Amino acid sequence: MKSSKFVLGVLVPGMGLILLFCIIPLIYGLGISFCDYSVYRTSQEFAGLKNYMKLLENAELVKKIVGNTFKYSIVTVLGNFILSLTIAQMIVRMQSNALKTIFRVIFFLPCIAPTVGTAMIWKTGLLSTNGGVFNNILEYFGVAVQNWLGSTTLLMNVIILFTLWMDIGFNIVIFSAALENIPQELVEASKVDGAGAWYQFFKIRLPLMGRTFSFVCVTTMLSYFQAFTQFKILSKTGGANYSATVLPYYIYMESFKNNNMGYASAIAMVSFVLIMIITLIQLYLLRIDWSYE
Amino acid sequence: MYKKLLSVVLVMILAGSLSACGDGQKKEDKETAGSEGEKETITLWANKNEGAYDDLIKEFEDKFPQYKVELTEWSYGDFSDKVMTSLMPDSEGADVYYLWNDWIKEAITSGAVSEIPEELAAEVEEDFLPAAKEGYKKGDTYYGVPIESNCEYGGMVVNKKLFEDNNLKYPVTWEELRAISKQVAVKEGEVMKMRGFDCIDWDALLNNYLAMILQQGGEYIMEDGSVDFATEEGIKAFDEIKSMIMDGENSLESVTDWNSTYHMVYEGTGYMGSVGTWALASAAEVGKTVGVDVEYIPTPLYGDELRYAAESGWGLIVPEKCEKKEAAWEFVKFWTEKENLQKYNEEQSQLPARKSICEDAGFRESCKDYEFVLDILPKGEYIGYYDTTAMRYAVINAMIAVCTTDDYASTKEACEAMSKEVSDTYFGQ
Amino acid sequence: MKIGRKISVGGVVSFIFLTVFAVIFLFPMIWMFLTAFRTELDLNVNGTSYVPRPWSLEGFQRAWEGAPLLTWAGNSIAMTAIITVSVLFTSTLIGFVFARYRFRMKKVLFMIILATMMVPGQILMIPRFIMIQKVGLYNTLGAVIIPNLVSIYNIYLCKVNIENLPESLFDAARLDGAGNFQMYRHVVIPNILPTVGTIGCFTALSAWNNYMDPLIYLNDIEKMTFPLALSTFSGQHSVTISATMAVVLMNVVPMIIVFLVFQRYFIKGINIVRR
Repeated sequence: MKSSKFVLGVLVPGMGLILLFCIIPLIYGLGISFCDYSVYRTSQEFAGLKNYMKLLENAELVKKIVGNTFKYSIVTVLGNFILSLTIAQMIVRMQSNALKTIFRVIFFLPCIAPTVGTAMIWKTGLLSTNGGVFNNILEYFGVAVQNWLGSTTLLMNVIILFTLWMDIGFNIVIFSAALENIPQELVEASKVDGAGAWYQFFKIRLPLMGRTFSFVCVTTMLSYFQAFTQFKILSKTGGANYSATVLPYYIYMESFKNNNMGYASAIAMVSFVLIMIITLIQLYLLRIDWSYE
Repeated sequence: MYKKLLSVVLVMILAGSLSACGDGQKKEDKETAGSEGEKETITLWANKNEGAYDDLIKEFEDKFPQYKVELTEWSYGDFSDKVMTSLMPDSEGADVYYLWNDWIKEAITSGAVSEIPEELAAEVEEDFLPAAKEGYKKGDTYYGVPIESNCEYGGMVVNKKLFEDNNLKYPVTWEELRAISKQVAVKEGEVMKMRGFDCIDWDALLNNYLAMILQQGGEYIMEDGSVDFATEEGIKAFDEIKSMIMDGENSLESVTDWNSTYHMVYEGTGYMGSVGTWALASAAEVGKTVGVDVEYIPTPLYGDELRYAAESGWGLIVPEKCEKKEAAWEFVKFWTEKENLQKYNEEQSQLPARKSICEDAGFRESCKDYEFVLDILPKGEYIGYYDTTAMRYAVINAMIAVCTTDDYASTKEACEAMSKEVSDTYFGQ
Repeated sequence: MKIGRKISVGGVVSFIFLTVFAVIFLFPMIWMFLTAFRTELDLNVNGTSYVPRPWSLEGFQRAWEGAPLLTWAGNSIAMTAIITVSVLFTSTLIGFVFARYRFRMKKVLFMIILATMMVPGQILMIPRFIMIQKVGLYNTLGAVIIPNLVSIYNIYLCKVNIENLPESLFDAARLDGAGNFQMYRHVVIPNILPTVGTIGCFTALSAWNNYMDPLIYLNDIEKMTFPLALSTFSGQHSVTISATMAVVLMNVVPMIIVFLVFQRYFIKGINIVRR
């Protein structure tokens, strides 16, 4: 369709806001990465590629943090998909609408609460060494109690677990709605053909949810790559020797705690490029024609 | 036509939200205009502490009727972000800030904080304790006035009942301390059931570590401004703390749980906890009485001579861009006058930053429970011009890594990594 | 539901599995609920138990006295309402335009929109802060509202959904002589209601829970929003857990209602399914 007046009328105000509060700040951020930046000064010193050189100097550390970020996002995305699809599939099988709503609400509850709050619930209620629910359960079964947030190997896993708990509700809601909408005839037809439940799920339902699935896949990955609050609260120091530090937290620490705004921006730019590459790969793999006309 | 309809709706949304803010703006203007009639308003931003500033402000307003003080209290966690953003050049903030020293070191180096008036500077130079004021200084110039001394080393809370019930005497030497600590500690799995001497939490670990280096006659600040923990003394002190954890006398739980050593002592699951005197104020919250259930006693020295490092704590600053500097400094001066400051320190159970208050008999009477601390306050050495938050992160993370992973081949390697991280945050002098 | 429809074994297994999972999921929230009704003394003395002894409103009282909760709740409601309505409107419209219209630079514009989703938020904080100052929104509720009037994620979601609507719907409307806006009103919106429900719900949620924006853009305590109360009870050395959990509880309740209202729409299913 063509109608330039309408298109302009919609895009100009909308894109104006995006330009003002997303794109200009992004370009500004790029600028900062070439400066010895201090928020307190009105004029900044140009530092050339210094911040990017520092990134190369710290290559070992940056590699480790990028590795952590990948580990965290991939494990969490996979876990999220397996769990939320399974649960969504089961919710759809419930025959009463009231039951469906109850389960949806329960699984969505952690998403409703602010992350700052839920992370604090986990930290003080579940994970604390003395009197935390996890340790009380272990003690009940006579297993040695753990320092959940202290041990470097456990810390990352605990954060992954927390993220799954906190976040799968979104996808459960989206998936269960999408599954519900699959035309019943198709499912019935496959039943007649004698297809098993899992076969049905993978060969019929999943492909039919194609667009939803790809969309959720891309956006979930995007949001986990930028996960921040749970790290700030559950691993305040970023883990021993950066074992639980991911890119967003590293950027935050460098810019706000260590006053290296320029260096932090340089990392952010690298992180930006990384996310872009991953998203493009995903879009390619999932064959989303995102400019589909 | 659609376009028109559309733009009308969009404009309405924008206008709606703009007017929401416009109102706020107007109201604010009116307020300042109204009070400016005869009084000048000084805005004060302070750490959230219900009622702690009321008397002081009232007395100031009584004495200087031409001024009015408007107070905004921020919770501790939010305050540092507010300080940073409001000190930016085009931003708006308060005229006077009552803040934590570590938050504004960068702002001081960048010139966002104003110099203190000469007369006041002379007083600070003369009567304020070095560790308390150094953080507010750059070169020979002061940029703020400390309100209190922040002393996280020197004393520990002990659970009197536990000591009495087990016929134990308070330790006087380091060896006694370690012996009792080993004897009483109980560890199950990764979790402590009873702690001996605990010096591992956010504040205590760094402060004990630095004191232990200094007491051996070592230094961690090098002449060129860098930090070196990988010295003989630095490694030895690190290993000593590590051995406490490995022997099960205390553990890393508090740094990861974000707990404090004194909690366990109050709860009766710890004998001794290294902590500042401020912890005594919260004994009542868990139903304990100082002097009956718990006590505050000197920590036995690790070396031969009492030496320790301390950072500057809460203090007052006025931003460079403040338009009412004269009034603002008048208020700061009022607050930091000896009598007023003494009263404030006393009410808030703070350790004084002024030598004259330290020596004041009346004041000493008010801190009977921990009077010995007043004698060691003047011995505090300034911790150094580094980001002390980064220092804490570095030591805590190195300790966790050394105790629970193979990341570092030796203590020395961990100390070198720590040194590099802290040196990077040097503010220069 | 057909009466007498036989209940399958799979259904029963699913039900048991879901129930077990739901209990595990609920546990942290139950802990939060119970803790909100405990006293600080109880928390400190009986650290290992979970049930309040005694049940007390101390936490709520502290929260009530420690922060202007009503004012903040009012601001939060106003902010959430404006943002939600606006995002619903802008996302569907912009999504519609990207999905159904051809214009120059479309690909480039959409690439830009997508790319901005990929920028780590922490780094936009300072530049965005500076922009807010430059356009004169600093310390006004507008600073919290205006940058959030458009949501890129939701534009993307709408575009995907509107693309999936069959062309025949639009053809029919065009034959009836419908204009662009009528098409939007009578064809697009009714057919993507589930998406609208999802967006409404998710947007209201994120606006309501927005914590950083009010904190850094606003200076006056009375302009702040509700989530700020989450950090109000964290001091330099300790956190008042009961008050904090009371705040979390009060923060969650209105959003449960919002969810129940909006979720009716997506029961019917999201239309992204059909291509």
